[in-house]
Amino acid sequence: MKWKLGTPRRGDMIRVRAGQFYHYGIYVDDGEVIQFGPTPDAEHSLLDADIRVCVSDIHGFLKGGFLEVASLSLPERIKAAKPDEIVSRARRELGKGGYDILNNNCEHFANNCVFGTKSSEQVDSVRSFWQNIPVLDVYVAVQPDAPVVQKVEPPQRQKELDACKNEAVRAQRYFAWRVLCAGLNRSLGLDAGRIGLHRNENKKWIANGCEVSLSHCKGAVCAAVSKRPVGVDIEPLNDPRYREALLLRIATQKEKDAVAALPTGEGLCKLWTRKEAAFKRAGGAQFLPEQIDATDDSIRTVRVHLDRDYLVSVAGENLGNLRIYEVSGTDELHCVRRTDFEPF
Amino acid sequence: MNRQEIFEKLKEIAELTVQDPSILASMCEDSDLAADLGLSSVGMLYIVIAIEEMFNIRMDDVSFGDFRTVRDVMDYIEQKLKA
Repeated sequence: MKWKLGTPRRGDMIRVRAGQFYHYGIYVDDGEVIQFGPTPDAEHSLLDADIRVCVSDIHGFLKGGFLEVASLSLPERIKAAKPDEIVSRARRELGKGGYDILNNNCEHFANNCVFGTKSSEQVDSVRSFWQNIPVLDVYVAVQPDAPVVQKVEPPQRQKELDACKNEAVRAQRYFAWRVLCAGLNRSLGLDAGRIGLHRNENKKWIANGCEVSLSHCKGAVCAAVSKRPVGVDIEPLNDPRYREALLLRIATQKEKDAVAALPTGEGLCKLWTRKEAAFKRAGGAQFLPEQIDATDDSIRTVRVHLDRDYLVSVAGENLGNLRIYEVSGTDELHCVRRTDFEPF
Repeated sequence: MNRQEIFEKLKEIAELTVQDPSILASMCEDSDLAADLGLSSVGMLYIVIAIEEMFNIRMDDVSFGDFRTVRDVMDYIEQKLKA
């Protein structure tokens, strides 16, 4: 709906700026504006109980502000009631209360009078703001010695766990899944059993309304939760398996230059986790590390100390919004935000 | 989600709504939403919608006047999450 400064006519929806938002009403004439707001005798009240559908004059409505008049598009004009009907609808509501800023505010009232349905663009835009807040949350946890293994959702994951012949691997994957479930609940209020989690043809986990990524290494597990594609990898920083030969095998000259200042093992760990994270985010069929650019800006690497130092690389959007949580507990997992991680 | 986690998440929401860092630093369960956090009715709108979206609950059985402190909000969220 568009708005213009101008002279209203009978039955017009009008509004005036009120702080961050607008206050709405139905114009009858200069002596009568019907609005859902504080009654004249409770003008400065902040209580919802003092807010009623009431009459004021145009000056009482505007309180010195600028009057804006709804300028309806053709489809809106077709949907709108005739002016006399709009005014009748407004008058029928006089005296009614039940103000609720979310579901029954002045804009809802005005739209109901004009179109017969309650709606509020202001509320919708606030909701849209929160729905589009970038989420990039990573959950890390030390692998417990003997996690209590219970049933998990969805059934596809349970089958994979049941099929694990190696008990240590099964326990690690089970715990990683529990961390992911805790993260989904904490970050997005989602239940892992109700979001259609399943593996796609490239074995990447996908779900409705969110993106996830899992990683586990010796001693720790890690899960990432986002609204956009994401990949995560965790590795212990000083793993003796990192050798120069591996660096020569997977790193381009540009990547070698990027980590030249680091000891070989740390440089390789950084490159490796970044390549894994990027691969997981892309969700490709085959991991070819020599073909993945680990220097890309869409990957961020941090050092996190748990029982020892780990590197965590995250590939995704909105890396500035990255939040890291440490997960602990046995029967029930709890997540505590960590702000002490360092860029690496 | 335990009570501490609920508080931490509310604080994250407050960081995006309440701009003053000194207010955020002193935020606790006893904080009065209007007097201590400076939330107007508009601010409450942001908070309520944020809670709905971030905790994935619907606050359809309360009115704004029901919440005076951070504790009131936490009690409500805790009750909703358990349901």
